[in-house]
Amino acid sequence: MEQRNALQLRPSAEARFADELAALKASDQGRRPPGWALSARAVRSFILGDNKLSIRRKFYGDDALVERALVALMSEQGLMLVGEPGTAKSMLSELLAAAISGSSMLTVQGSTGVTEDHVRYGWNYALLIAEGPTPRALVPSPVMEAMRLGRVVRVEELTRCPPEIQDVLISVLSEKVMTVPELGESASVYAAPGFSVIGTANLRDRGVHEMSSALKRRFNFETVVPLTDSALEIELIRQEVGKRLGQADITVNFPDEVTDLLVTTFQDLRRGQTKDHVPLSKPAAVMSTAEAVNIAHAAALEAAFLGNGDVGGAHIGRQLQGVIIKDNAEDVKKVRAYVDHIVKERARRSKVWADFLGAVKAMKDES
Amino acid sequence: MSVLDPAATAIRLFDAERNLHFFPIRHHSPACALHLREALRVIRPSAVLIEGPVDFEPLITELLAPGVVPPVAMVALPDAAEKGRGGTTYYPICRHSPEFVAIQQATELGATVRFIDLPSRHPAMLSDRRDRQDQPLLPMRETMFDRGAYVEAMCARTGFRDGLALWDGLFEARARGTDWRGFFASVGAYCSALRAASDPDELEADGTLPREAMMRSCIQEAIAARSGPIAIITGGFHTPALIDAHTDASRPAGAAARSNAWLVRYDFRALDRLNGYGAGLPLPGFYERVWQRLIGTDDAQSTLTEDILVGFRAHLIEKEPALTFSFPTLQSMVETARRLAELRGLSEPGRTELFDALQSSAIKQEIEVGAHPLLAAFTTYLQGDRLGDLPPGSRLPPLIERTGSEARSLGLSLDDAIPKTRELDIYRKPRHGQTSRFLYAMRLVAPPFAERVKGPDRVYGFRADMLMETWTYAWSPAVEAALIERAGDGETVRDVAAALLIRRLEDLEQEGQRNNAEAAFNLLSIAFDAGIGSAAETLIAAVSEAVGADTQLLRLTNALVIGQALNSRARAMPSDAAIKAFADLLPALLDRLARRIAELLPDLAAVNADNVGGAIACLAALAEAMADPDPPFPTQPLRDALQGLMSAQLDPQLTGAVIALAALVSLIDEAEAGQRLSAALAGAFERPGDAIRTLSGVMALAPQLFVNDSSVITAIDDLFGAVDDQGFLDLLPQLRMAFAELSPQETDKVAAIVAAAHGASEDDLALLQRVPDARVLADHLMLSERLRSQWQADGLAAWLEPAP
Repeated sequence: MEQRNALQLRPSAEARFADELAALKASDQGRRPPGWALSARAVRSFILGDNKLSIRRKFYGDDALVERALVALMSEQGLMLVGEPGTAKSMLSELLAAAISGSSMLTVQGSTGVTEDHVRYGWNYALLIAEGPTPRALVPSPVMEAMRLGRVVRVEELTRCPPEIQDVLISVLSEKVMTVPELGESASVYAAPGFSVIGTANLRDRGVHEMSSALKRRFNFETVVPLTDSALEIELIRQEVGKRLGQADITVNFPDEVTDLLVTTFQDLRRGQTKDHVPLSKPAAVMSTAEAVNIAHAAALEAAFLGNGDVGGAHIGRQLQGVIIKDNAEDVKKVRAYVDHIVKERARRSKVWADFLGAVKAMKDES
Repeated sequence: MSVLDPAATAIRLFDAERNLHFFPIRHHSPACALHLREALRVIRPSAVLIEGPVDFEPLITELLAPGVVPPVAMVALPDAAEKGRGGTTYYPICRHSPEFVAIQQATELGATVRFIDLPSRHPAMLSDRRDRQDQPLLPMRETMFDRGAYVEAMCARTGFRDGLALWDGLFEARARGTDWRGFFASVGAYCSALRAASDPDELEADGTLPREAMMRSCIQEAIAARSGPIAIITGGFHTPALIDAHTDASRPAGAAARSNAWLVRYDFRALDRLNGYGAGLPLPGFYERVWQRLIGTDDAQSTLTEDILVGFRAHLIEKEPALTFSFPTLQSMVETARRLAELRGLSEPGRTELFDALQSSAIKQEIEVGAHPLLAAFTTYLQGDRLGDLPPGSRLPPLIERTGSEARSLGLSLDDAIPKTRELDIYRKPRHGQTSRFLYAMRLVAPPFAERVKGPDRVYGFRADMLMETWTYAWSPAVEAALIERAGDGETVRDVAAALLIRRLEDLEQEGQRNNAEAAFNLLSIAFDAGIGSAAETLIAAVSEAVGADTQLLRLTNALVIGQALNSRARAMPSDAAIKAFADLLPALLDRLARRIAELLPDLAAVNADNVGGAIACLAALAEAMADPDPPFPTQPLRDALQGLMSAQLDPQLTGAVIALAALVSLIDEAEAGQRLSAALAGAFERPGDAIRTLSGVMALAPQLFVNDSSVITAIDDLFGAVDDQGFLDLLPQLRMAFAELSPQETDKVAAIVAAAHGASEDDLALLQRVPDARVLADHLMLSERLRSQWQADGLAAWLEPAP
């Protein structure tokens, strides 16, 4: 495992932040909930940062949300993180699992293709035929593993799983036991202390499986919203892009003005009005911070490999296209109106905005 | 969790040399109140100085009288000379107000109690920047606890989400325990840091500095007269400016002014509204329960969290069942609140933890920040609905006194706050008419007092034939509070109502609505109902001006409908003096209005398909007004204008409406209307549906024209005969819209006429009605056609003949 880390595109949270977790563990004075690797307060510090232990803040936004989430996980309830795509739901669930259980790897990646084997257990068929149903032949799911070990299991995109899979979770969450009828009564797996479920879901997507009220009842819901504080968003983007470029050993000149342009554009379109309360039509496209980071990253790469290393408004303008235009003609019109009225005005006063305007215009003419 | 650096901002609260004890507080803070009570018991002061307007001092005795139940408020009304500065000054007091607790304790100890702030109507007390004239004035302002650089920095450092949560976490959470010295030292350090971070220019501008000069001067005075220790209780923000013995203590000018001050009953809802302006901690219902828990007056079988959440659930079950949550959810909520408090290092859950627990456990869906109805309901619940009380026979401000006696003289019962019902025979019994006008005036001035349950629609004349009105009314502290709020405008309900209406008129002007005839007529109608004769001339002049300036036909025609309803009411009550003031002025006004409408009617020729809706509505209003057999306005100019319109080139829908109106006012007879309509329907338009839109126009005003005249139906039938199937489908949407105006009976009648014209029998119609929808019918017709051709091809044509 350790050796493979170097080759992984993105190591797990517990690997990335191993130092911080170790430091927290060493200084942790608080009472640990049964089965937890850290006290709730230490987990809070891990996610929201702690200057004294030089723990970096990893989740930006609503601190109270993190506290409520921790309390939900300490109780009998599961935790359901909902919100638009790109609002860092999965990241938050990964961080919580890494800090609470020391591992974020027990994960069900939800999709319509998920079967009962993924949430209960499957069989090694060769052994099953050879030996019949024996514990050796049983292949546990991440959920079963989490119950056995008393850990947090993450179910990503829960609403994409078919209803029968969601139903399995109801009994797991309320009974805290998983029966294996094939192996007889004594083979049931009881949840060890520390077991809990973190689900994530995007309730706005069409075509998802609505959660039953029985399942909802077993979860505490937390809505993760996009950042509204532009200073915070700028800081976050800068950090994240810096990290990505650092890993690849790339240096570019990314002026503050350009980050500011990116964040302003995103905040305007996300809110449906500018800071001066000029109303505009909100595109349906997801305009999350994660998307902004992707744009900034792509713009930096373009500047580094195809340009002279100076990131400008034009780079952002060219990359914006990829986010906004995901075959939605309405959005194109809305963004066009935004560019024609609001960006044009700003372009008169600022070179960065003028470059941005030029790039977006050029793309439009092509399409 | 102590995050303060006491060394950096600590202030010396005990001045041993002068034997002064300073107590920095926050208004409506139970923690401050409890520690203060303890402290006073220990230091036994000979004098207690409180930050309160010095002119409110005489009210202290009244406040302590038996029978006073907080919430109450000390108020100062603006006097006549202050016209324009408006606004009532409020000093609200609840059971858990540190000031109230201090006054009680001081009295028990035999200490003298003095108020040491500037008089309530001193210019420095009025100089806060209010957004609106009629916003309340507050002697204390605590907005610095809610925002500002220091509060933000502290929140970032401690993880509390806002200034209020910060205060709760740092101070309310420390309410238990006997270490009042430590507690006030922390409050003092916190407040002095707040003070250090504030803008000195602002302190000058909002009157803080002269107020503090007054407080210092009062302290000096008290020192000179004292016989023992002195306790000085002020908002924590002021304390740092008071402790230095060497700061200038000369008294500002105007400090001796006395005002029109009263003690009045108050209620938690009104109190919480004031808190919105920075009067102190919000949610009085919640903090009062905290206070009762602290002093041990409620019986503590369960925790406060349990009490509140169980109470909230019971409240929901009774009042808002749709929001109720289950018992297991309640249990998980209590647990969540407790664990959150633990996580945040608090000894027990506070306000924030309760809200968080509710959100976390009970709301199973995605929510916009703070925007869930359950959270809103919880806020209202924690706001509380307690009403204060004063002993019988208390001194009351003149407006309340006079309003009360007028109500009693009209036979309304004001003895308790239970809602009562009153039926009024408004036209036939003069006293009932008077009562109705009084209630209308009260509805304007103090809305909580009266509610009209039944009666004719006074504005647009809907159900104008009703003779009776039914009202419910109840005299409560909320009514008194509303009256107090308006007391600056006059001493009788009528005066205040007149001032309010004139202000609304000014508001219209400010919103650029000066030329809105409909809005102006609405105000006039209100004044009429409330019998405010004194405002009649001003209002009528303004309305007349609006009529001359208004260019929107729809507003003018609506105004005509209102004016006509007003006039018929005036005629029904000719003997009443208050009404006469209006009745005399109305005819000239309506004359002007009608002529103005006639002047603008020709503009309808410019209306096109996009904005025809408004034009139709305006013709409909005109039809309503002109339906009066004896209209109070000249109809000839209107008829002339209509005549002109009939020969103008109009949008088809409008053509229909104009024909209908002309027929309704007998400008043309029904036969001519039918002819014109047939002609219009046969018209050639580039879009086939346009001819049908003529019908929609007729239907909107006078569907009977269409039903009564079968020649029109024949014309439509011809229109259909001329188009193919596709053409019919194109017409269908317009046709559906047009027919939507007909009643079912009328639709049946039309169907019978059409059927007769095509030689269909009633049986055919009945058969048709059994067909579930058009598609089934089409399928079956197609099948018949195939069968028919098949039989013909097979030489079986004879089968198609009816049986002999």
